[in-house]
Amino acid sequence: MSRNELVQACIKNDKTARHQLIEQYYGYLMGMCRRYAKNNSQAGTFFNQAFIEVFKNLPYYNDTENLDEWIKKAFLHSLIFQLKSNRTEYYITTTIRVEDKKVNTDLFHQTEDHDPNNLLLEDYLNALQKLPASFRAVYNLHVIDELSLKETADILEINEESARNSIERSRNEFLKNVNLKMQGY
Amino acid sequence: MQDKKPYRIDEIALREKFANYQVSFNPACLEILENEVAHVKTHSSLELPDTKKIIRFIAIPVVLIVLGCVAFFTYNYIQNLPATEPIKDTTVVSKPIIEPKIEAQPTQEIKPAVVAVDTIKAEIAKRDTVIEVSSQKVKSVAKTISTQKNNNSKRDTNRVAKINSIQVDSVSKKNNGDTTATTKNRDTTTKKKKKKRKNSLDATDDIRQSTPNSADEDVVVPNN
Repeated sequence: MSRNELVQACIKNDKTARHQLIEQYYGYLMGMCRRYAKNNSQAGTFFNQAFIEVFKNLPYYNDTENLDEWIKKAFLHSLIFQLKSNRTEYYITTTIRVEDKKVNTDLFHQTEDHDPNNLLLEDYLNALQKLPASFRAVYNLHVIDELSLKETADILEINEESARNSIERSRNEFLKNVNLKMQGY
Repeated sequence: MQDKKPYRIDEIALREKFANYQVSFNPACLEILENEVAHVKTHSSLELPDTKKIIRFIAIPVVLIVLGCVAFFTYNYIQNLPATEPIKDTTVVSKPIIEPKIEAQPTQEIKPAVVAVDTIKAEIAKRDTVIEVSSQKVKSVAKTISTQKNNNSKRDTNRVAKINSIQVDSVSKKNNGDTTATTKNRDTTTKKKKKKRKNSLDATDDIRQSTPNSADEDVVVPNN
C-alpha cells in the first residue's frame, strides 16, 4: 500500500490502515515528543493528542506534499500548542537547581576528560527535558529541528529578537544541564 | 596546566543523534490511541463559522431580543395582575368651585302709599275724574281684597282695611312691572290726590255719611 493509499484508507476510517500509519511513524514521532516533553509519560500524552490532530487533518492533506514532512509539521504545531496550553509550566523560565551542591559550571572552557559531546543520547535527552518548557521549545525548534529564526518566532508567536534571546539562554541552560549530567547529577 | 578548549556542544552531531533517535513501538500505546482516534471523524465535515462571528452576529442579538421579550411580558403580566386588596382611592377629587351667584337684589320695596278706601270711594263718586284703567285696577284690587278677606276672615276689620289698602297698591305696582313707572305713578297719584282732595273735600263728607267705612262691601265701579 502506497502512502497516498494509506492516507485515503485512514480518511475512510480504515482501522488497519490507521494502525499501519501509527506503527510506521511511532518511533520517530515518539522520539520527537520526548524531546518536547518534560518526561516520558507526558511524551505519551503529547503523542496521542498530536496523532489525533493528524487524523483530523488528514482530509486536508495534499498529495503533492511529502507525507513525512506534513506529519512532522502537524506534530510540531500540536506539540507547541500543548506546551503553551500549560501556561504555568510554559511561562516560568527559571530553572530550579540544587544550591547546596557546588557544580563546576565553567561554560567557556572544557578539559579533555570533560567533553560534552561524549555523552549518551539519553543523557542529552534528560538534559533537554530539564529545561523550562519555553526554552525546550525554542531549542528543539531552532537547534534540533532546524527551523529558521523567523519560523521559530512564528510558531511561538513571538518576535525574532525575543526568539534570538530565548535561543541563547536555552543554549546556556542546556549546557549547564549537560555539565551537571557529566558530573553525575 | 590543563589545555582548555571552548566549552561547546556540537549541535550538528547532537542533531544527527536525535534525528536517528527512534523509540521502539509499544502496542499498549496503540490501543489507547485507537480508542481515542475511533471517535474522531476524519470525513471532511461542514466547517462552522468562527465562534466569535457566531457570538457577534447571532448570539448577542438573540440574547437582546429575548431579554426585551421577557421584560415586555413581565411588565404586561404585572399590569394585568388582579388587585388583591381594594385599592385606596388616592385621587383627589377637585370640588367644583361654585362661584356665588350675585343675585339681582330686588329693588327696595317702596312702601305703598296708603290710600284709604274712603278716598277711592270719593273718586268713584266723581265719575268725571275716574279713568277706565284705574277702574279696572280697582276691580282687580277688589277681587284680591275679597280673597284676602276670606283668608283673613278672623282678623280685625280695621286692620284688614289697612292691609287691603296696602295690598291694592302693591299688586297694582307689580302689575306695572317697571319700578320707575310706579314711582311716576305714585307722584302723579299724590298730585292727583292733592288736587282731588281740594276738589272733593266737600264730597267726602257726604260720602262718609252715605256709605259706611267698611272693607266688607264690594267696590262697585261704574262702567262707562
